[in-house]
Amino acid sequence: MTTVLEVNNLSKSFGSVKALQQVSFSVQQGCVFGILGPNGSGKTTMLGIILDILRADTGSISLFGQPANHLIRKKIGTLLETPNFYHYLNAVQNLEIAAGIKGVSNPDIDGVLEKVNLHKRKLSKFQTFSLGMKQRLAIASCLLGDPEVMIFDEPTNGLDPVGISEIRLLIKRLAAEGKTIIMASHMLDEVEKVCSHVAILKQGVLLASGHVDEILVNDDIVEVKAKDIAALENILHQAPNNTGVHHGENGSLHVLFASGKADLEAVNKFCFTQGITLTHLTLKKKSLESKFIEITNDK
Amino acid sequence: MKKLLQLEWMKVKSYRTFWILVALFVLAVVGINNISFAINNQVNDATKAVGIGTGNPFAFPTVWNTITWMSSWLLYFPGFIIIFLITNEYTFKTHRQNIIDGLSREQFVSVKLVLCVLLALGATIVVGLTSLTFGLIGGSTPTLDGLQYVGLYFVAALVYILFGLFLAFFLRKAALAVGIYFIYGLIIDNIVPGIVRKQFDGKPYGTYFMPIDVADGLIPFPFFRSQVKAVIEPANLYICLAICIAWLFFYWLFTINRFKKLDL
Repeated sequence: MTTVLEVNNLSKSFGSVKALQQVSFSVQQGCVFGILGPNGSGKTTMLGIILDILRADTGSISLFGQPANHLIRKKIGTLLETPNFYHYLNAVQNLEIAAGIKGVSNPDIDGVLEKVNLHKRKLSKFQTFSLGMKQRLAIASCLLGDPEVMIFDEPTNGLDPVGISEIRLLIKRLAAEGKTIIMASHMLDEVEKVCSHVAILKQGVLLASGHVDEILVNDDIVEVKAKDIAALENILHQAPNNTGVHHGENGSLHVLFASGKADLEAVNKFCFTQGITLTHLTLKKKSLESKFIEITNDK
Repeated sequence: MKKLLQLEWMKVKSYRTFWILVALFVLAVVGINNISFAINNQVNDATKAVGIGTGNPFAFPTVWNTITWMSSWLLYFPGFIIIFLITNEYTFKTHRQNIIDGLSREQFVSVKLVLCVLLALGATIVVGLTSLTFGLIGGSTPTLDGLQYVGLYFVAALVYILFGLFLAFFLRKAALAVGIYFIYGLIIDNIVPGIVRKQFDGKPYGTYFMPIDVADGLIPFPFFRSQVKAVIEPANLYICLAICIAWLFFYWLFTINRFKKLDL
């Protein structure tokens, strides 16, 4: 596997705001790489630097093993932040300009417009488009010239539920064709549904990066209650295989286990042999949201 | 560069404001000269009756001077055109998208300079043809004597247009750039040299320091030439030309360096 993108020690400040701090990661060919982070975490800033519309304070970017330059950018389909097109031109004219810049000869403009369901409006001016249609046109523009690498910044922004699932399907299909996709999102389920790898950003700091299954592990949670909660908490720390004990809602305790490793019978038996009778015992799956919040809150 | 110009052509050919401004410029050039032609005919009849010979500013070779001087008042039009073309890119954020899609920053800004030169060339051709037409209508024999004024008009047009380019890249917003261009160019740039002139016994020092008025200094006032010369000392052509070229370099270098270095 070759490395498509390598980011080394990237830092960028806007005045006193540190938008990125020493961020490093790499993206391998063929993976769907999600950049996950809350609003204002530096996702767009980072992509902007990769695409040379923002200047990094320090650090370097390499694309396909060489320092980033405009000729390499021609081979990447990109949607950054908002769909940017000439308002007074129609969809086809706008795509012709984009294809001209990318140096795509004989661009399949009808084909890409069909892929994003915009074919019927191909001769309408961009200024008459709804937000969702603008977004579709931007994705169509990314597909011009059938690039091997695509960068999508919040690709489902402004789309209705049908549009969202269409675009996610399209991205999955592109991934299945072996394309490398780098996608920024603040929506965890989107990243989880679509991506194979993920990097988590918070306030410009890279918190974690790696395979989705490793980063966004689904822990098993066993919720328990007893009359003497303090005594219960004391013994639970010794429960076999547990990975942590936290206070839950309504005076309950949460015992964490690695995914699929929780055994209610064993927990019940353990507490009973330690002299505590449980009044409540249930298995809960930890939601990804809470995992995400936990990761971004921890540091 | 040919490919870059083709891209610019795709942006411009369906842009209605561009064509309206071009049409207005052509109409205004013909119109303003037609008015002064009519006034001049009446004045000529009057002065002939009184017996003062002023010469006919619409006869060759003076007509080159007359028409280029009159039309230099209209150089705001091509200035506006370039401002709109550039601030559009900022408004639509297509300056970002063009770079994202694979233009280098240098290519993006360089083709705009070429566009400026083409606009100046276009304006010069319109004005040159107008001069020729009025000279022929006036009934005199055509001569290439005085054709240098057409060349000077090209330089003046470049100064006006590159000043617009500079403002557009610097301010990024159409309304702001147009407002400042107009208020500065039409008011401040004309008042200051006048004040300086008064302070220094009618010497044209002020003109040399102004970014636009120095371009106006290239083409001298064509009417009542001999009478005017005795009262007001015209700006020195070669000094003006040198300063114009210096300003052109400044506008260009400032713009390209800024665009290459800053966040877009």
